[in-house]
Amino acid sequence: MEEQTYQIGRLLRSGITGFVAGTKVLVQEAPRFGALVRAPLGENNSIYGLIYEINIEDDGLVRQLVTTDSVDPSVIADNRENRNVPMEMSVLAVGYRSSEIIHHLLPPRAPLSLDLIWRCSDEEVAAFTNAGRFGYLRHLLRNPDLPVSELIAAHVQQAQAANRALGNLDWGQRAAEELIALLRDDYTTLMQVLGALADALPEMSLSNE
Amino acid sequence: MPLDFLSLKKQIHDKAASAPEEMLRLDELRRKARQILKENTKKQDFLRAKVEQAAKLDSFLRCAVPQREDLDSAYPLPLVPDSATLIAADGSQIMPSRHEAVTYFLVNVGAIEMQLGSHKVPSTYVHSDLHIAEYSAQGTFTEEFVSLERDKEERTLLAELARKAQTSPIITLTDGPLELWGGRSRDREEESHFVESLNEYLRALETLHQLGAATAGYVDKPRADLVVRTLEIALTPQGELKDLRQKHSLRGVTDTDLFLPLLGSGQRSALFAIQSQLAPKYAGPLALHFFYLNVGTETNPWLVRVELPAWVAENDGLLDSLHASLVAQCKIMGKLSYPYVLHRAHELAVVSHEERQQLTRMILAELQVRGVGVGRVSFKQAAKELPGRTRR
Repeated sequence: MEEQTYQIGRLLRSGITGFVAGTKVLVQEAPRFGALVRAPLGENNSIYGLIYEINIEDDGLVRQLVTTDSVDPSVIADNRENRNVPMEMSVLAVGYRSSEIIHHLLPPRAPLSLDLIWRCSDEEVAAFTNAGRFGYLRHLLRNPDLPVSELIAAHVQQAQAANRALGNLDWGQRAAEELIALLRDDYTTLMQVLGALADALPEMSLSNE
Repeated sequence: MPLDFLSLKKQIHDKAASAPEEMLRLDELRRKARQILKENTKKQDFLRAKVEQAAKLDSFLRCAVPQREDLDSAYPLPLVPDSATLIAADGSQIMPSRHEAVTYFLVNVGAIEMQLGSHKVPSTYVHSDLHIAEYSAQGTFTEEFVSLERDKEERTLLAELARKAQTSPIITLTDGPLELWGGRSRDREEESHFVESLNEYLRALETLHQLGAATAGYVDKPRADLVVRTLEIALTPQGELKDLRQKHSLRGVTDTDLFLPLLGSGQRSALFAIQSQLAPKYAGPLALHFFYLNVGTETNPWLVRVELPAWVAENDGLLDSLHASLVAQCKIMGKLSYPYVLHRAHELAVVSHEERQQLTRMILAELQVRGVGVGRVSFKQAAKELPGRTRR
């Protein structure tokens, strides 16, 4: 089923290389690790990023509630729906769109506080991931603080599903081949990435030949 | 300059030297008080009559008035009602300050409504009431004025929400005594404002009465000696009641000292009415009562005082629902035995420092846009707000 775009939160803080968005904790439509999202960049332009961390902040009351034998469902609902304890999503900037052209470069500016953050639709994912030659992957690979192999696997899994929904059946294979080329001089990371991809996409044949 | 810790260390040592002896003295007094309670446990009529006589001689007398239950009785925890509407409200405020660039005050009341026995998401409410001025027709906006407004608005919001509640019984809670504090000022404006506020407060209580709601004020860690004072009255010879203000043979003993050993986990004490200067204002079904409640465990007991009006105290069904719901709410918080709904109401009401600053900026901006001259922050306040203070 094709994924539609939907609003997932608002910007809390930002920089050129990424931003953090906050949202209420909701079971349905919870943003996913590795998902491609966008934030506004002036009129009709967007910054694209991949969710690489999702945190749910605890607080004193929640810590107190978990010490009891059981928590009343209405108390759980109260904490999830009413209390301002946001889920925080950390997003790595991987490109931007300006005047209808997609660039796999860092954006020229950072998005602004309280800007709405949107999960990209399948069409948007396909458009971004097919622009150029996977140049955006280098933003993931050069950052040692990220869970690189898992992030790539999660992103490729979701992006492949989006591309397949739109008829791009070979996207996953092309992405894997590009990763192999980018990591040919880093055997350790390459093996980790391929291992993660194999777990995420068992149907894909992966080879480093 | 930092605290003079060298001098303080010596002061602590000197003052603490007498603490063990004082503790022994108090322990002996507590034993005596408990014995007097036991001896008078079935003398409700005698004690009521004596309190009445003492109150006629001194209307400022504040003590407990025994009702029908034995004074040292303990009532077990009833079953929690299968369904009920539980509503708690709390108020916070920004006090007027002459040091700010503009004088204003804010009363912020938060409330939460839970449907017991259902999985529904509780409803939350916040009501913010802003006043921009130094005084009104009623008088200068003092801290007492603002506190009265806050207490009144808490109860008014509760009545409003209770009116719309759909599940019975309705249980409403606020933090603190049920009795509105004030009415002791010699200032005519303040006294007039108190009377007006009290009348509004009583109207809200009457609404809750008409709705059949079990309304209560919750006092955590009570330090009162209401029942102890009644025991002192019992010890005072008839002819010396006029000098009661000088008679405090059990001074230092609190009601908690009396009831803590008597109440097991979840148990409540006997019901008492309150004798106070303003108690006659709460007449008939609104008459003020209280009981003590152990919301802790058998190994870690914790006493609170619950104040309630007569219409709840005299209705076993409402009383039991209130009793059981309070203990259940405290259990939600684990070791911090305090009703969950009251804590949430507080969270909704509290005004942070940043919110206060933001509100002040908004008011100043609006006034300036309208060409209204505003004052300046006092130099005292400005100096306090200087950033980067790390040394004194």
